[in-house]
Amino acid sequence: MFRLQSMLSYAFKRLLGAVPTLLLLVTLAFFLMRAAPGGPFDRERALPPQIEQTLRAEYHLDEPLVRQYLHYLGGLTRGDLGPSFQYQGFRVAELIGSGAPVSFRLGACAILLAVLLGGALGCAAALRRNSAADRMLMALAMFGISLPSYVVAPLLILLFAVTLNWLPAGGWSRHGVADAVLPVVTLALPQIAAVARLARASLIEVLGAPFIRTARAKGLPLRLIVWRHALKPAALPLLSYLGPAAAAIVTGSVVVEQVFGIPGIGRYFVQAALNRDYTLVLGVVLFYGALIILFNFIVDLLYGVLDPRVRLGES
Amino acid sequence: MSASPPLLQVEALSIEYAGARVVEGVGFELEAGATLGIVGESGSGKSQTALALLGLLPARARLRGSVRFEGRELLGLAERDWNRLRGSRIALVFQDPMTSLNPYLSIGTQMAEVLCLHRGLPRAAALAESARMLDAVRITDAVARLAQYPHELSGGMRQRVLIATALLCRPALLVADEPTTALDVTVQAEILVLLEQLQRDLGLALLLISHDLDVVAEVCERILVMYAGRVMESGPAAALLAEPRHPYTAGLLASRPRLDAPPGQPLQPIPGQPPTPGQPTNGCVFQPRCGRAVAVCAEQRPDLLPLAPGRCCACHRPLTGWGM
Repeated sequence: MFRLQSMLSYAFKRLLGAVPTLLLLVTLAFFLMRAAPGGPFDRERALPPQIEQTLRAEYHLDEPLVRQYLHYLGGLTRGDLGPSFQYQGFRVAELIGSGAPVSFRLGACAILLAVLLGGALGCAAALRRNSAADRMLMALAMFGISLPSYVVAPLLILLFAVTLNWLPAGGWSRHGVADAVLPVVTLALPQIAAVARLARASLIEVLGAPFIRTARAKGLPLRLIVWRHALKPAALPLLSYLGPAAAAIVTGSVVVEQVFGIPGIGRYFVQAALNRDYTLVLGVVLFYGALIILFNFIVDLLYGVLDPRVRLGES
Repeated sequence: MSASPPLLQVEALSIEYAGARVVEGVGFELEAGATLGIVGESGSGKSQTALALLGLLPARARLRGSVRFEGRELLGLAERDWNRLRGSRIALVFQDPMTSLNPYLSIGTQMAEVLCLHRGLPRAAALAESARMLDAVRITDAVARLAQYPHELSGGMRQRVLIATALLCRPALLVADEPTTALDVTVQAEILVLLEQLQRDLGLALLLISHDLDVVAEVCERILVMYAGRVMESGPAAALLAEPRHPYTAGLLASRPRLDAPPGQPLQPIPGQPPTPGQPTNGCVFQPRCGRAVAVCAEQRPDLLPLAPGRCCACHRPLTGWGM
């Protein structure tokens, strides 16, 4: 009971502490974006001055910068991320709202795959430390981490879509689950590799701990030692990695969404910045920032659950 | 008594790592319910010997010789057979109570699993038995302790938990490797008294390993002195302390700090360093540091020979009394 209460008050404090962080993030992003040359309505062929004037007034771009900043913050307090400059007639919140679930679903599948497969491979490698199988797995993992997704994605399409004709080459919502397979695999591949390497190193370290020797001296079989005594401590470093990694993955990958034609929010990241779509950039940055804070918070909560020495909410 | 073989019989035990021999030709016997102390400085091979008795040495280690326990040869046993013995017939208590308990599991889980595994008890019964054993090692509030985690207990308390865990299945032999080294002096004494009492009450055979002659002499009937992986001297504790025969034992006795020594009397360290394992030596391993060494000591290795009833010594020029 006491624990739950201190946990809740801890959660409240943490969320309150996120406000200044996000404010700083928004402020920096706002002024950096404005410091970049060019504007949302600059085209190769200049707009007629009157139209441009009207547009600038419409979006408050003719006001002093500080006024615009305060205006934006005012919108934020009402939960309004403002209108998009590029996608006319759309609010930023709408764009993120339509793209985020798609990116989320892909990212969540990729993370799940990475944890299950990467974790299993890492454990298998750790238990066969320095064997041929271990070395091969780790070499493969290094390869997986090094391969950029703009190489993996076309190769996968070439093999599974073009040559074997097993899976669609791209698109979304036309073939059901089949649409998601290649993008998820592309997203997951480097994560599987990273998780496998981390899990291996972590498990090897834990298996060398004195308390594992105690467990052996008690006559426990290896299977029980790994399962009951080693897996939990070995999972903790992995958790620290997975928090921020998950935030990055579920907010979508520019490359994967571009190559497979997926309507997620990853595409907005780069496009909005290039188009000087000020509000969309700010909206996506804020969204990403909030997710990182949220995921780190979840990781800390999980630490509190997994490690009895961590007592959240007590100084 | 002499008809049945001793509980533990170690003969000519050698342990080698990639050619470097860390234990060579160690042999001793331990009757059921008896106590033996192994003394030596770090690197003398005493902990390696202890680990060998439970088959806990790394796979790289090459073992030779014989370890017979309850009439059965242990060296070369399959892992599955080792697991039936460990924690059940032979138990081990390690040096560092701070790191020897799993910080992520409750005391109850770490104790009960031994009984669930070896005796097939259901968890509730195993926990009840664990609480009784915590009582036996004089931990207060035993039932409440089972729900606690290692970080909530003091070092001395954790060592008691480890001892209680080791004794859950009433093993015939308890190997304690420096069980008090990491503890405060006052706690050390408590743990030693506890070990002594448990050993008597449960009829355990106890193999106590320590660098501290006084600790070993307090608990054990017999003492084995090891140096550089070899046995230097063995004998009844009182006689060995009162009248060491091997110059190394005498050196150990002279170099320990004593409260009853006259003030101002300097400690007498043994000069020099122990040899690194793998260094080939023809003669006595202690010869480079020995004040009594003569020519033969560098050329010929002394055998461990009986000097008096129950006393053996590996020295060409054993001492015959104090200061000689």
